[in-house]
Amino acid sequence: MVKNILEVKDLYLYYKTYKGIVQAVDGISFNIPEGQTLGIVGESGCGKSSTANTIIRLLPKNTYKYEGSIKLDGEEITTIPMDEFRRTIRWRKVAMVFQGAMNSLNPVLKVGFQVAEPLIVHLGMDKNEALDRAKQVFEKIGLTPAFLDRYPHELSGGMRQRIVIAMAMIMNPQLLILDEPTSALDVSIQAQIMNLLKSLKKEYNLSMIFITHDIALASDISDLLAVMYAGEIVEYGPIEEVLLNPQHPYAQKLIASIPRLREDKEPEFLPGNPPGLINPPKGCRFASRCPYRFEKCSEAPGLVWINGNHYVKCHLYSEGK
Amino acid sequence: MSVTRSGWQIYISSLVGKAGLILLIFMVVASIYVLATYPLDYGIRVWSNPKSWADNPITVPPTWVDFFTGRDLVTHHITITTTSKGTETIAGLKFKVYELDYDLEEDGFPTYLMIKIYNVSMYSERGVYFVINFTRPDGDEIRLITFAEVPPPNSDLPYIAFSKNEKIIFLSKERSVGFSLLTYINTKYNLNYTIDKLNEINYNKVLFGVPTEEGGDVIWKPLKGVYKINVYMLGEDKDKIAMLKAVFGGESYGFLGTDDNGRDLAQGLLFGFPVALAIGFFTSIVTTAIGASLGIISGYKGGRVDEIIQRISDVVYNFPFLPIIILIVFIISRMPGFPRLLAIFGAIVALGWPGLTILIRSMVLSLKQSQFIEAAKAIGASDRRIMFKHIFPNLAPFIFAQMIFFTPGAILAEAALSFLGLGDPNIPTWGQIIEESFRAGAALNGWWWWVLPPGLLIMLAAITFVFIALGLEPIVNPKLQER
Repeated sequence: MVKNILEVKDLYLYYKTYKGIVQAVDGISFNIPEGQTLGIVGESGCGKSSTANTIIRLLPKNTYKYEGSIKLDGEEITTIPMDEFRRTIRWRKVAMVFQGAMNSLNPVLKVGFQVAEPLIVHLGMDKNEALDRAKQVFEKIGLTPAFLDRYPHELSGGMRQRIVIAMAMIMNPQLLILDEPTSALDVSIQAQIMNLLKSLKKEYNLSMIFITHDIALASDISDLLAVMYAGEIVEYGPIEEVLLNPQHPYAQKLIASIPRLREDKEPEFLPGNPPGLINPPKGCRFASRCPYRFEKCSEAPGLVWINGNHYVKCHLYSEGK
Repeated sequence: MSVTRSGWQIYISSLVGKAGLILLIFMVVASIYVLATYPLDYGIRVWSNPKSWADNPITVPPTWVDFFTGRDLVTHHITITTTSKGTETIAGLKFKVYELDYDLEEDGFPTYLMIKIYNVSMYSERGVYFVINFTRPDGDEIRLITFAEVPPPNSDLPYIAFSKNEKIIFLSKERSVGFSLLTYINTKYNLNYTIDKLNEINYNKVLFGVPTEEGGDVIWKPLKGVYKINVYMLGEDKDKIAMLKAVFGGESYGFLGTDDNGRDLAQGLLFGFPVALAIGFFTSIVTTAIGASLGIISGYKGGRVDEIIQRISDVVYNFPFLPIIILIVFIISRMPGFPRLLAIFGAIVALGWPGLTILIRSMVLSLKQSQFIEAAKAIGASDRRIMFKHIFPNLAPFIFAQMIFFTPGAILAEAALSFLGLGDPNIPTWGQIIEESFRAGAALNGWWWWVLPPGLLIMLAAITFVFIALGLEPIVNPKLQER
């Protein structure tokens, strides 16, 4: 049995807004074994990015509740003071590739400096030494070192995304969080980036969290899949099991909504909207849109373990149904 | 930082940009010239020291007004001699002779005649006896004045007279000269004048002119040619005068005329260049640095820090600039020994920063939401690093342009304060010179050369920086680039 690089248990992240408390991440739990990739899928606003931000602790000012346990390589990281977290965990152990490479790079700084900056900040390297290291990383990800001296606007979207990945990889982190790394790229560039990520995963035995709304893309790289809905993980398990045998009604509907090439079947869609995360319904959050709804759905469901590492959050599978 | 090569090309291709740059280069060259040639304490040692201007004519226009007056004005002339021409024996007494020449070429009278005697060494208790004669181009020799100088009792020989203060004889005012002249015109032209009448016409007209009759009135016309002043000294053989100076007052002086102290305005105005540039640059650099830093901190940190900085800016921003600044400078300048220019500088900075702080804060508010700032946070960069390595470069061109824009404001503010009498009288700034001209009533008396040039120079300095700022605008504001 491989050890878990990340263990998340009952993680909460609530925001306070003038309208009320937003329950962005509401008691989620999952594990990632070393060297494996967890895909997190779900529709917009379901808390995918908030989950990522919680792990790397990029909490907004209006954070209302930040609770739960995150164990990185067996070490509890939620209780580490902010300053120490910044110095020892962030980017050293957990790095992140942000949504939209176009915007993750500072337009007025050379990309070489931006890639090298974590070394300057964390290791106190001098600029030239750091740039040398950046050059090596550039070669690894298939960019010529000449690009070190370029400004972001001089590079294409794919190159920029590679640079953002280089920036994340420069400290050799144990865990890489990718927040929709390919959503702004065209399909051929997307394929290049995916291949790059796969080779990094293989070469460095890198553990990753891959956040996307594209299930097909997630299936390409992930070993595990978590389906999020309204701030909760409704189904989590090995990717084959979740994709081929989805248990949660939402997961079933989500997977059924993928258009298929050869089957003569209309993609399904879900009527209605997900509930707002301010004052979500008391019971099951999917109840209002669920075709299998019954009385018990007005109570909050617990985790139901299907087998081994596969759970679902639905009353349909709980005992005493 | 982002002003790249293409930015420079954009700048230099604009007409205003070029004009601004040329004007700036001119100002910088003038400043360098001043710094290289003027003493550092020029203000106290030269400008405010009446001794250094004692020879100059008072409130006379520049020499180039000849172009417009139709007649050449008499130029200011000084003759100096340090050696004796020889000796001459008159009535058995041996006199040492010193000669001072002057060639009157213009059709006018020198405004005054003054003779200065420096350091006379005497080797006898009897002292020395001076006779000053005046020889005109028509060959007439007039004995203007005679006087004796005796060493004080019990002093060691050689006794040096006129060493601390030179002997100044205002020949065109001296009463005994007047009596000599009365005798002269009586015998030569048969004119019976009283001393009062002579005072009325001025001695210099008699000294440098000839009378002609026009319609029953006597009109004095200037007599061109070489004049000589002979100073005869009677004493021991070794007795001598170290230096003799004759000043023939001009009707015009220098490139920009003189003020009511005889000060050369061209010199003072030239000194104003480095002062104006220094005030402009230092105040704008310090003001911009403070304003921008506070703006970045306020915008980025948010919360209570933001609130405090913004409320203070609001209050300071709404102070009426001039009244408050007058108050501040007035209070500060009461402190003994505190340089007034520094007080003005401090006051402009103290009231100048909030505008930029408010502006920069709003820009930082939108900038800090951008993903690359979040990315910088994620890599573990400290707040300070994010503010000055990531946010600042994004704002640098804008801040730079703001700095240039603020510069003329600082120069004008200094001029305004100096004009109001809050400046440092020991440092000739342009505002200070205007203030002095105003106090002397230059505008009322028609002394335009004292009022206009400093005004124009202040305008020139302001225009220089406005031009540069206009030239920079297309670089800083990319929306203007496409035009």
